[in-house]
Amino acid sequence: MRSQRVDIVKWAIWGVIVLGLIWGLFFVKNGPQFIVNGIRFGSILMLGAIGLTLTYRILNFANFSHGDILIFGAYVALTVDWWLVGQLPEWFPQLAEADMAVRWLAIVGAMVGGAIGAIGIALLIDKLIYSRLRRSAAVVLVIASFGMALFLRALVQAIWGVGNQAYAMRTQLPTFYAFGDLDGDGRFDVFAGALRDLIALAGTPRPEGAVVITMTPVQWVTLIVSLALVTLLHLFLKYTKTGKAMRALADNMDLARVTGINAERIIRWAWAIGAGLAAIAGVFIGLNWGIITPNTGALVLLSLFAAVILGGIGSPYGAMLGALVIGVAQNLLVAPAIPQINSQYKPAIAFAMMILMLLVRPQGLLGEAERKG
Amino acid sequence: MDAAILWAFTLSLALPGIFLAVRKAWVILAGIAFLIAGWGGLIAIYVVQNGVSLREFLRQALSVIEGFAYLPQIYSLLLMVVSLAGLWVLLTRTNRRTRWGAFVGTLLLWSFYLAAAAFTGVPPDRMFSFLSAFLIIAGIYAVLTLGLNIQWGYTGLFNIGVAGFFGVGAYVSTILVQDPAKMAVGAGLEGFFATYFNQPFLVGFVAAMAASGLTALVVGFATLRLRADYLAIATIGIAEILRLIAANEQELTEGNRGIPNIPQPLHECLVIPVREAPPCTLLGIEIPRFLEPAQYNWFYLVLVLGVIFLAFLALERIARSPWGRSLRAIREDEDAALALGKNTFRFKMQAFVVGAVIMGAAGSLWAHFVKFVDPQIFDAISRTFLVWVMLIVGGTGNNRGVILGAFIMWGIWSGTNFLNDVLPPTLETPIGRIDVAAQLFGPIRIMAIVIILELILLFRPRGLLGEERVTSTMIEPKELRPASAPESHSHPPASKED
Repeated sequence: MRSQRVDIVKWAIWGVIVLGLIWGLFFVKNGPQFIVNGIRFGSILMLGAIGLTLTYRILNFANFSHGDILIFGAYVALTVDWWLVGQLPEWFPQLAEADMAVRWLAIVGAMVGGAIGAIGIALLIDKLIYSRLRRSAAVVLVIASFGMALFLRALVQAIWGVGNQAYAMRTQLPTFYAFGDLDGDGRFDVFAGALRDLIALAGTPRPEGAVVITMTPVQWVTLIVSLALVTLLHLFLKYTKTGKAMRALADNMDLARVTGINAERIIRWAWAIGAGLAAIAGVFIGLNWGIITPNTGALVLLSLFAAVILGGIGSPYGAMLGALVIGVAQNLLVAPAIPQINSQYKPAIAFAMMILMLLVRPQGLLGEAERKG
Repeated sequence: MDAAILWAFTLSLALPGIFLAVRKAWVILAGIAFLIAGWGGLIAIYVVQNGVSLREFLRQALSVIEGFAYLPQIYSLLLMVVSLAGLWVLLTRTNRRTRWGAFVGTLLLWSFYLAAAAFTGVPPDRMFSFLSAFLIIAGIYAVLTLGLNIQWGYTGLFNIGVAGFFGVGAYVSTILVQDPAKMAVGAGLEGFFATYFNQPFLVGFVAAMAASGLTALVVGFATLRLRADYLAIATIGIAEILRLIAANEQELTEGNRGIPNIPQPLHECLVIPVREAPPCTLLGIEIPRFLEPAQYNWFYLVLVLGVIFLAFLALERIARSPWGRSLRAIREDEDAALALGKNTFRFKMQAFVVGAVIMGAAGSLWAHFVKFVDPQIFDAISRTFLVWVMLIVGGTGNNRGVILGAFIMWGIWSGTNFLNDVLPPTLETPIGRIDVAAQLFGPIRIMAIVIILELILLFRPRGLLGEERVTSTMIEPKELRPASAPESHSHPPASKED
């Protein structure tokens, strides 16, 4: 009955998104580059947002400590990373010459280590605090999680210090990908090369209409691994028994219990998936931004919430969609499109979009209505 | 002049005690009479016996340990602990005699303290500089916590962007009151806002409240119709955005450098100037200057206590009004309140804005006391989180409780600063050198406070005092208040929202 009006709003939002993409692709200088950057950042946000939305849906509260679980995982990964970079050549002498291979292997190990660390701390917190508050009002849980956020941040500061830290990864040369009529012979070329080619190209005037996108190997890995993990999660939710149970629990806790689902076990699964993916997101943030600090988690949290709300809080697919939209919008709107906006205001863009969404369609793009008052 | 200041100071200290302890007019009068008599006598002795042997004796006795640098602080801390214990008894015990005992005992202790200061000649300024700063800041936190109390304690609105409203108040008040002449050359770039307005403190104070209220209006409009979590997310977001604005809009806020030398209210009218200054007139009457620069904080303390007093009275009145009852009804069961025909969105919005206005006032008081603002003012830990802990420790929904909580938690928070002086600055460990001050101390303190909070949430969710059962101004409070609040009222955040 209400659907008529709401659907119009929904399609209007979709229209705005599509129009924004078209505008970014064709009317913004270097637009495609910023859109690709946005998708890359959005795919990192996706990994972080999934945990947020799972705990919201299953445990029914907004987990403010999620950003700090993310950064805790990232710091555990940091320690594992530097340790492995030192140890791997000793264990495997044949790797001693291959420096980059060692570093990549160390990053893989670090992600596993970081994920284990984050899952451990998330399950511990759940066991010590949240599990005792399951019957309390949702807001008590939110206070508790806000406290745990500060606790984790302080813990990170106490163990790893307050300064900037970086993973053991070399600065990498970007590969650039150029599309368009590069040699002016009227045909469309697709061209990829390393930085030296970019310099060579710079010697000659840049062809009209060429679209240039640069990506480093780290950025490629970020994009591909994030999307792969999200796909795996989708398969997990859709086809495994645990995944189905999780969706059942999210839909109706009591009904799911009646059918014999072990709710506590599924809740542990939700924490593990959320925290593990968050830790990997933290590692990617460290690799892409170059540094992590204990405050990085809190900084990202706002964008994560914006993504979750944009997509519809409680819906994993909504969170993925919202993360992409937020990532692209942050990269497209700040600096390139509107030069007056300081690039520091990226979180503000996310926040403004979130507020707008709450005003026009509080349940988000893919969420279900729960408006009251 | 010293005597007059002593008077003002003592009265100001007695003020919270009086209004917290009793509601009857004759008790307040008796307290004031007691003060007049006690202090009259003390000052008489001080004036008459100037230079008598007792004074010399005490001076010599104290001079032995006076070399110990922390004497005034330790003395003050001790006094504070005892005073807080007195306040605690005053607020928690219903037995009239016990309460009177605590009240008089605390006052006597203060008398002893001041007498010792007066007789021994240890400069009162030195004795009080720590204490007055402590009380002012704790008082500002108390105002902030009162603001949060009407949002969360009364209405169940989950605001974790307290720092945002506080910071807006501080910045708006600063920009309006700041004197451009006091800024360094080159500060303040061109642009429409590149000016400081050099207005009186009161203008800044009111504008701070208005700006904070306006911010709340915007945030509330988007989120108050929704589940409580949305408000939480939006408030934490607005605090972060405001911090970004403060850090980046250099022409408005000087960015990360911050704004120094913020004028203090009536400072030029009360403090004896170093150089000759034109007389300060108010409504044609010349005001004599009588404060040493170091004594100015006493005036500020009175100001802060006055604001607490007004906010407290207003909130107590609200708690007993139909409006306050509606707020609590919304907190307990919003759907039921809605079904009874209450416009819950409107009530929630009003409560949210009123709370934010009080927070803005606290921000203004802070800026003009510290005389410096920078984006650090939006710090989530020392603003938002500490305020929440104060509220929950003191007793959500209980105005006296939250004032008590503010003083206790600020005592713990600032008291632990002394540990930093005691601990070694760096520590050699097998895994490398650890910078204790920067790396260990702060985080461990935060972790300790979080543990306190989580323990309270788990084991004593109603806080130290718990919520009072109040319904109306028409009913005597004592008829309703049992020895301890019943458990059914123990759960302030009882909004079951699904």
